[in-house]
Amino acid sequence: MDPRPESRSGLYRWLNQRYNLDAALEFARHKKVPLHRESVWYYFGGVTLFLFLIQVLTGVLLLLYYRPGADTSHESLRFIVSQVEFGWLFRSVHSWSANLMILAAFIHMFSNFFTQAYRQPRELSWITGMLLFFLALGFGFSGYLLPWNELAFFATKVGTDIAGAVPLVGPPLLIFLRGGEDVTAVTLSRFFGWHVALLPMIFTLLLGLHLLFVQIQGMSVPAALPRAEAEKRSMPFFPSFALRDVILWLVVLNIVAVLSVFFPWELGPKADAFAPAPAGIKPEWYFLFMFETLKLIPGHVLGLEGEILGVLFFGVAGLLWTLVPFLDRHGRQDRPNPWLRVAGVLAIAYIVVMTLVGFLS
Amino acid sequence: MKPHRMTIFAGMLGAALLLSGTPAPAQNTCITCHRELGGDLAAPVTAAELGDIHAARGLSCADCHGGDPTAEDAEVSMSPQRGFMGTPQPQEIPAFCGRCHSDPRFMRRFDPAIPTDQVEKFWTSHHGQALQQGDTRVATCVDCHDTHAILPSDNPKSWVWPVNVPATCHRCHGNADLMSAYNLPADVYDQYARGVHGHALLDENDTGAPACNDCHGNHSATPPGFESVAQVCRSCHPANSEMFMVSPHRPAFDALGLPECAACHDHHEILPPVDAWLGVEGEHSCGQCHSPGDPGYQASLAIHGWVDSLVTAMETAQDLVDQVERTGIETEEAHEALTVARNALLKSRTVIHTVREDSVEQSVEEGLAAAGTAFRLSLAALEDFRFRKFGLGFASIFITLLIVALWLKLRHMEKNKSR
Repeated sequence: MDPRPESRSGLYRWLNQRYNLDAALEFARHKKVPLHRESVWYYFGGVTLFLFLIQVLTGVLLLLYYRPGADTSHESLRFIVSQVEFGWLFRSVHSWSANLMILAAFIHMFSNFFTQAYRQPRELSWITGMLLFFLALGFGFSGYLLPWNELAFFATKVGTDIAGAVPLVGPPLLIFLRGGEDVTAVTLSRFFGWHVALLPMIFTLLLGLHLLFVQIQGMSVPAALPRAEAEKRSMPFFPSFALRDVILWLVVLNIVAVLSVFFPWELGPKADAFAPAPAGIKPEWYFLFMFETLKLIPGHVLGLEGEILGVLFFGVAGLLWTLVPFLDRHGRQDRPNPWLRVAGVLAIAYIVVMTLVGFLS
Repeated sequence: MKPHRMTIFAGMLGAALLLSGTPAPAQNTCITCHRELGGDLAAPVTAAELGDIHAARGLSCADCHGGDPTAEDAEVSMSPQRGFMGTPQPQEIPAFCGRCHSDPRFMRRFDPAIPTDQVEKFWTSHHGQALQQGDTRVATCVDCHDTHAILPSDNPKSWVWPVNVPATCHRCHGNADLMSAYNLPADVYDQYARGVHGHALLDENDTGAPACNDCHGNHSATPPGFESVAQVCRSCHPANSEMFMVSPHRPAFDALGLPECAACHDHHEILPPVDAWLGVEGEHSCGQCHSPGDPGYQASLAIHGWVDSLVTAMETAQDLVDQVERTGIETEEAHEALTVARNALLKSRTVIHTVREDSVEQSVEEGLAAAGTAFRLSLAALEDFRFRKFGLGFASIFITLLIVALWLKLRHMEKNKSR
């Protein structure tokens, strides 16, 4: 944009008098992105954000026709994918981008973990990011049930059963999640409410904070890189990084389109509470490693129920992972932490192997 | 209490104490002796130990054979004076078993719903009638139920468990020497096993499928005969039978003495019916009885044509639905239409028993309409898929051009800035 004030439109001048847009533009003009061999990971936050925006857009479009209810959910989705103009596209793009968003969030999270981007002063960026990640999983879990198909119905049953195994709070949590003892239309109604109202509201607030923190503090330079060297080279956020971001978003958009056309998301047979559970019920791929772990744990370990132990393990692991900025002493001194690096590699290997086991079993 | 009463009470108490100290009753000498004797004489003991229902319900050898199982001496225990009857002769067996099994008052203590008319029915069977005439080669109770290892009929190991019934009958009816004496075929089991009923029962373990006794009866086993074969089939195939009863075939078959259902379907080797039977060529086909020029021949051609057209239409639609499925496009509506078509085909294959062209045509038309719907939906879906691919191609080109343009612009801007 032309920096000379006299060259700007009347509207800009009107807004600038009231909101000091010049200051924001000045900030943007000077915003830099460090350039080093790990810079590529910076793009995954943007990709996650872009996929979330697709989610919002396609979700709103689906809401125009989707009607939650045991007698209407599956039927309305069938109507969307077979009768509504481009309904199949919105539905497939929504499902595919949801899954890719979780994948991008995984990559974004692990890249920040390995580059120790969470270290001082970015602790809150990490924590808001982790909360966003958990909310994204919540989006996936609640959205999975909304088509009210056979697989989702039984997977939700299993998933909420696992939540019910949490010590102390499990039983009331199960009732809270399901809206009763069993997965019923009430559960569907709750999941719908969370998926389209509660979760988006909290997610948007946290996302705003997360982006604000990133804008204020800028991108973190990996602790493993010599600071002087890493800060020597940079690129302006506008237009260099932003345009590269847009180019990558376009690539992602094209991938989503290809997947949606050649692998449209299946609707599956309608849920029937009285039918026997179909063979091979599995949760979505991002829950698969936890599901497989729970299957592998023996019924009783050290006097504790295996399932409870598994849930406790993942609960504690998730909590420690979220609190890593406060646990990484090396990070506080801007030094790489080999122990956490090993832990991260092991976590990735475990997730990948158990996910593959889940797919192949 | 008076003194003499005290004496009586003391005497009773003493007797009770004596009785309570009496050793346990002696062993059943039938079992101990026969077990010691070994060989064939021990067979009843070892067989009874295999879960025999009589032994399980507390009946002993003497309850059927008489005698005194407490006597140590065989001469005494197996003496007529002690009621010993020995092994019954074949012609005595029905009455031998009937002593208990025909007595409702005795049998109700074991099962109030158990039938007690088996012996009565048996005498009406071919087996029973031959036995009455002195033919001892025919089957009696023990030939089907075993002698000393009699299992309840709901035990899958029992000789009369539905899946085992054909083999049980086959022990005699597969004996060519024995059957030749009665002028009966000895390959009935093989014929049955090749048929739809045999396949369902023997291969699929479907106990709902008829075994020999479901058509011939159990204790009153007898061939159904021409006049009642349709009644037998009707008990499981009522819809087909009702249509046959109002068809022009019924009076014609009766006049010709044809065994109704069995005339086309056979009786033991009941093969899966195929649509070719509706034609005029080959075994089982209408052409077996009808010749060119007669109305039945023409009707057969027309009915075959109708059914065939529905099958072809369904196959074509199914192929197209499969193609759509491979694209991932929703096919539930097309599948629903195909289900309607399948039901119509099933109905048409039943309606053919009326041998009325208009009835078959009507149900085939229903199926053709549904198959047509599935076909049209699939065709539209494939067209839609082509449109999607075209749209994707167009969008991809546009996105690629946009990416190239943005990249060039970026390079241009960065180059200008670095100067």
